Amino acid sequence: MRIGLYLDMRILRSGDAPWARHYGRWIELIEEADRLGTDSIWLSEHHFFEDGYLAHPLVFAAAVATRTKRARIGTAVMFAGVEAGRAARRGSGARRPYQRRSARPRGRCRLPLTRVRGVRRRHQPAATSSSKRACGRSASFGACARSPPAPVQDPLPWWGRVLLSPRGGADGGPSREWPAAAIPRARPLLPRRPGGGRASGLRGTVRAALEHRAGRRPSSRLAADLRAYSRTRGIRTVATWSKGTDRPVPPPVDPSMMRAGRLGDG
Amino acid sequence: MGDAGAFFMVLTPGEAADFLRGVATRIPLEETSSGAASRACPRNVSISSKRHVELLCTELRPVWSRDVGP
Repeated sequence: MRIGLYLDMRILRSGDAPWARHYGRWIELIEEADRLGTDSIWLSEHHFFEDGYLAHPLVFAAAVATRTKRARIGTAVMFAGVEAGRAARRGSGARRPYQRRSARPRGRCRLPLTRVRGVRRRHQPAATSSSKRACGRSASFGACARSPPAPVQDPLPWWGRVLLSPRGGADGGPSREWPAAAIPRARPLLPRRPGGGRASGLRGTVRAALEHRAGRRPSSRLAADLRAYSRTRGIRTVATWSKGTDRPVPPPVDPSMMRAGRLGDG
Repeated sequence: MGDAGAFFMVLTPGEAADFLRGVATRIPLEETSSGAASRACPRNVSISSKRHVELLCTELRPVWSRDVGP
């Protein structure tokens, strides 16, 4: 039985900023937890919240890996669209600072940056989990097989959240989650609905949030997405939390709240 | 001790072990993780408190491992 820590890096007090000190304090706490024997460290990814969180869990996970010795490091839900965009930029050659030979690390395992010798092309690493497997098959790369720890989840789960609305997405509707490696690919998988349902992925939600933040227009689409999210998770959670207390159950998110600068509870 | 039916609970290590024991009888439980904090969560009951991490790692984890196994 393992016990771990799920860390969202949320700022509880405004005095916890600036960010470098905030995240540095978490790194120190994680290092102490690793010394005391915690089994895992879980990180989450959030955007557009004023009270902190963590925008790039993979970068922070790398920092955690340099300061811990035994705890496994994992992530919660990550934005597939954002990661795919980063990968596309790397692949385009526009910015390749980490792929220059002189910048490569000299450690034992360089799997993310190089091919595995002695392994056929079709078995070359495409993801972390398959890299570990390919590594284990390669006698010439045996050092990597000794690199702990192995992935907790194999294969790595990729889930895309798709919001379905019975009336075209304007009112927010039931939310379903689909296993999809890429959000755009989820669209053809959706069943046809008599009412003309519409699917939207995270890309649209993020774009709408950016437009709203830039003050271009209050986004009804973002409101619908957030409302659906709140119905399926947020409101239920907060309502349960406020049960038995004098705290009121928060209302659903609507465009007027957004225009007032309040996006609701996350 | 918090309401066992609520989403958030504030527990002592012993109470947390009892709660997890009850959960483990209903579902196959391999790993559990403690959330860091939530909105309006006091610092002394959030993981950002060093004492919280100590309780999790040095009191709850040994009890839990002894009861359920590694």
